[in-house]
Amino acid sequence: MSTTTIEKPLKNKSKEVLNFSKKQYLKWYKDMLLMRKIEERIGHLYIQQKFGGFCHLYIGQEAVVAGTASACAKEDKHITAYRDHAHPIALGVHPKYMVAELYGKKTGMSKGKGGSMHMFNKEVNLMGGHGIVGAQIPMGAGIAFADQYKGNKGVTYCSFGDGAARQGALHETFNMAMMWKLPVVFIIENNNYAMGTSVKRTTNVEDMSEIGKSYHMPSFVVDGMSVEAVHNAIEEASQRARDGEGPTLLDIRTYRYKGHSMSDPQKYRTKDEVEDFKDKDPVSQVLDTIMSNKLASESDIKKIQQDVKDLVDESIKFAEESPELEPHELYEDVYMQKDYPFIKD
Amino acid sequence: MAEIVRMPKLSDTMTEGVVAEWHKKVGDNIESGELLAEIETDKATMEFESFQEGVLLHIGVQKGDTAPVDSILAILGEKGEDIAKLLEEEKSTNAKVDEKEIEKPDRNKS
Ligand SMILES: Cc1ncc(C[n+]2csc(CCOP(=O)(O)OP(=O)(O)O)c2C)c(N)n1
Ligand SMILES: [Mg+2]
Repeated sequence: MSTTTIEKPLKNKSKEVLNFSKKQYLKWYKDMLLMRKIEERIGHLYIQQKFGGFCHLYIGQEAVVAGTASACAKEDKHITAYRDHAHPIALGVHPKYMVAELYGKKTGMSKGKGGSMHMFNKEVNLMGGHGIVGAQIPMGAGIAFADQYKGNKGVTYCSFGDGAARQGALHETFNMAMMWKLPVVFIIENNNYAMGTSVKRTTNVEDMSEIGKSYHMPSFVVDGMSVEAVHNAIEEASQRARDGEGPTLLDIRTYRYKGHSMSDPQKYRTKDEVEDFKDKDPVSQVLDTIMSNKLASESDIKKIQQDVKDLVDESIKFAEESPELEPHELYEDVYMQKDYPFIKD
Repeated sequence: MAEIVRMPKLSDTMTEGVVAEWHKKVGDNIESGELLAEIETDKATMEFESFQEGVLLHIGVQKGDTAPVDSILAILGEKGEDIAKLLEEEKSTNAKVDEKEIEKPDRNKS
C-alpha cells in the first residue's frame, strides 16, 4: 500500500505515472486552497473580534480531510474534533454556512448554536465537531455500530488528534471495534503536538500505528502531506470495512503551521521546523503535480484562485449579513427529560 | 486608501496589549503575512503578522506602551498619504461610543 512515511519526500514529480484523473487533481487543488484561504481570513476575523469563542485552524493539515473526502462514499459518516472548519468544505458544504456558524448566526451549519468547534451537517453525514478531546473515538465506533446493526452500508471515518489518541476510551473502543468488526476507520490526525506537548514528550511509543496492532487492528503510517497517499490509505481501509473485515487505524503524519488555537505563542517549536514542513506543503504539492504534468494552464489556475477568493468573500459577507438568533430560539433544540434522575435540586 | 491596524485580540481574555517590539518602522513597506510587532498579552508575548498591506504611515502605540484591544496600533497606506482625517474620524467615533456606553444600563447588574 502506498503509505509512504513523511521522511521520504516525493521526488521527480514529472516522471511520475499519475494514478488520479485531471479532474481529481483540480478538485483537490480548489478544495484545499479554499480551506487554506478561508481559514487565513478566519484567523484575521477572530483577532478583529468579528466572532467569539474558540478558533483552532487546520492550516497545513488540508490533505488529510481532502484525501478522506475523495476516497469515501456518499453514505459514509464523519466525526472529528474541534479543528473542524475544513471538514464541511471537503464534504461539499458551501463554506458560507461554516463561516455563519463561527459568527453564531441563524444561518450557520448548527443554527449558530455550536460555533467553531461544533460543525454538523446531516446531508453530508458530518456528525460534528467535538470539543471534548477523544470523545469522538467511542462515539465514532457507536455510529459504526448503529450502521452495522441496522444493516446500512456506510463506513464511519473517526478523526482525532495525536493527543486524543492517549485517552483511555480509545482502548475500550478499539477492543470492541475489533471484537464486533465495526465498519470504522480511525484516523489519527497526527500533527505532532497536543497543544504544546510533542508526541515524544508523552510516550515511548512514537509510532502510533503500534497502538492498533496490539488489538490486531490493521494499522498503517501515512504521509499526511500527500493527498494521494491519504486517499489510497482511506480507500483500502474503507474496502476492508465494507467487506466486513472491521476497523483500520491510520496514523496520518501531518503538521499545523499555526498555533494550537489563537492564543498560542508557540514556544515549544522552532520556526525552522515550521518552515521545513512548508517545503512539503500539501496544497503546493498538488499544484506542482498539476503544473508539471500540464493538467491545467496558468489561466485555469488563476481562475481557480479567483473563484476561491470570491467564495471566501461571499462566505464572509453572508455570515456578516445573516440574522442573529431570536431570544426564544435559545430554548429550541434543547433536550429535556422531565424525570431526569441524576440532577435534583 | 489608508487603513487602520488595530490592537488585535490575541487571547480569549485579552483586554489590552503591550507592544514588546516593533519589527517595522514608519516608511517601511509591509506585505500581508509579514511580522509587524510583538505584543504582550495577559498570557504571553505573541508575534503579530499583518494581514493588511501598505506603507507604515503611523505608529499609534510606542514600544513598551500599553493600549486597549481595538485601539490604533498603526496606520498603513500609500506613501505620503494624509492620515490626519483618519485619526480625526477615529476620535469622533470614539466620543460617540463613549456617549452610548453611558446610556446603556449596567449589564452586570441584571
Ligand atoms: C477531555 C479534555 N481534556 C483536555 C482538553 C483541553 N484540550 C483541548 S485541545 C487539547 C490538545 C489535543 O491535542 P490533539 O488531540 O493532538 O489535537 P490537535 O489539537 O493537535 O488537533 C487539549 C488537551 C479538552 N478539550 N478535553
Ligand atoms: Mg495534535
